[in-house]
Amino acid sequence: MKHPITSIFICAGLLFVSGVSAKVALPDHLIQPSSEGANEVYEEKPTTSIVGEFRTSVASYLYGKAHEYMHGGVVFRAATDTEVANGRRTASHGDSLEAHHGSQETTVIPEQEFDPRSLWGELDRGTQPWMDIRQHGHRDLSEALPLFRMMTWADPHFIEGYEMGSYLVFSSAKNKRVDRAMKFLEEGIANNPGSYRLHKSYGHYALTITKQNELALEHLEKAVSIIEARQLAKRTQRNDSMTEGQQRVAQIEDLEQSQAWNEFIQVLRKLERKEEAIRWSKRCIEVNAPCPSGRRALEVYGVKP
Amino acid sequence: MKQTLVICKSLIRTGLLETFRRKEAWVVIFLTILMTFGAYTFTFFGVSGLDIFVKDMALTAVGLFTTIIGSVIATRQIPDDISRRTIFPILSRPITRDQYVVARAVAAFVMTALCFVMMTTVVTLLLAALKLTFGLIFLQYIWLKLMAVMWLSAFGVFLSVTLSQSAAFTMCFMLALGSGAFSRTLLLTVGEGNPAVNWVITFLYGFLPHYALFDTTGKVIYGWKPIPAMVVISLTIYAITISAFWLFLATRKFRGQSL
Repeated sequence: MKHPITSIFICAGLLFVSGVSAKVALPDHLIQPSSEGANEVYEEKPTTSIVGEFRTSVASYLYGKAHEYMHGGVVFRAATDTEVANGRRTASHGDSLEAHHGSQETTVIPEQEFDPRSLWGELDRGTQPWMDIRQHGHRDLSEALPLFRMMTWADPHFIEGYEMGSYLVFSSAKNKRVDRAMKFLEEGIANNPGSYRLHKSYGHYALTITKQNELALEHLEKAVSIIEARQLAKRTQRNDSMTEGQQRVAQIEDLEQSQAWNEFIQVLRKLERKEEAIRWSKRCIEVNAPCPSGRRALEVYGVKP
Repeated sequence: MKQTLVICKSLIRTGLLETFRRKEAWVVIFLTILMTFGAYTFTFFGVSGLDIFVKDMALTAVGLFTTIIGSVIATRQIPDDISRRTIFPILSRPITRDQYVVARAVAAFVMTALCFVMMTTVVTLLLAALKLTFGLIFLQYIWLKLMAVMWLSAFGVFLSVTLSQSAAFTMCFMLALGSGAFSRTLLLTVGEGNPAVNWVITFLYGFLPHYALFDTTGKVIYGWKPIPAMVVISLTIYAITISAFWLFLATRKFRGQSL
């Protein structure tokens, strides 16, 4: 190669041109799996699938990085059942941050008593970021925030990015900037109107932090209606052949849905909409057996479940 | 010993001239700057507080390009001499084949180390201009990276006398870059199997390339405290020992090789 610098400039120029082309000339390529009609587009235009995969991969990479940032570079992984049974240390929080570890997690580099490498293990723990993850603290969460901004730019349909990002915006600021967190969620809802989780999160902030009950009702009702619309499909999908990972995801989904139902009924009660509260409480118990808010509402209104 | 040093000096000089003639050093420095600025450009779109991200990108670029250029330089030293037939006038002088192999490895080490130091200097100045600085641990990072480069040079020279040039480069680069992943994967299997299997795996672990152990990028970018001195000393001893081991194998292999 005679002129490597010139070649680099040419490559950079071609990348720029292809980026602009993808944005302006090929709007189909920006369609993501959760968008309506995406599957048809994927079948007709394979390059769409590739671009979509790239965007999703970038967002997932940045999500992983954000997790690392919060823990000062310490890398986590899910602990196996054998490890948990054998007493491997699993992640728990020593500060005010609420749950962000989806399942039982441990460090990739094991602690001394579970590391068979002796000297190699000591060197590994000495040169790589490592800590005792029991009751661990977190770095300044605002350091991870730019990554959430970038990952939702890269993939506007990355629901976890909006959820976790808004939570960090809210929890990292000393004066609890809920307005910013809700604005971030608004952007997520605009990009993903069919996501019950984003509506649920927005409703949660409106109900518990800003005390805007009407606004909370609007979003929680939307969340529950989306859950209701998808309930049938979900029931047929869940069965015993699910892998452990799929079951964990399903458990998280169940928890999220249960929270949406509970807060929806709570806000109906706060707004004193008795008839609706009773109707939805009965429905909640029917589809979501524990439903503590529903049972409490029926008890208060003197109605049998 | 004195004669070996003289040969080393001569080969280092010609090697450096070759590296700068090929403009490899300038290309990697340019790419490092591009990656660092690429990460920083997000601030132009209203994303602030990217300090760690920019540092991460900068040191990742330095680490990656050091591995690439180190693998290229180490694995081409002897094959280039053989293909250009310049090895004959060199070996016609009163030097042994062992001295030649050691001198080539030392030349590869000095050239890669120089490229690494240049990249690190440029990145440090660039980050300082962006008001981003590193702690004291950065000095340990530089030292351990130099130790890693020493391992890489010796290992690359060994591979180059064992395999074809392209195969040697591929193996050297993959084993260096993937050393962390290989070690972690092997470690994951320990604990789930029976003790005998665990013992074998642990034994095998000692023979894996441990290039990633020298990489303290993670600790540097997150501003951890300096590494304990014993860890640095142990890694230095390990780097010298393992480099000597690969050079020993390389000299044994090269002694009986027809040119």
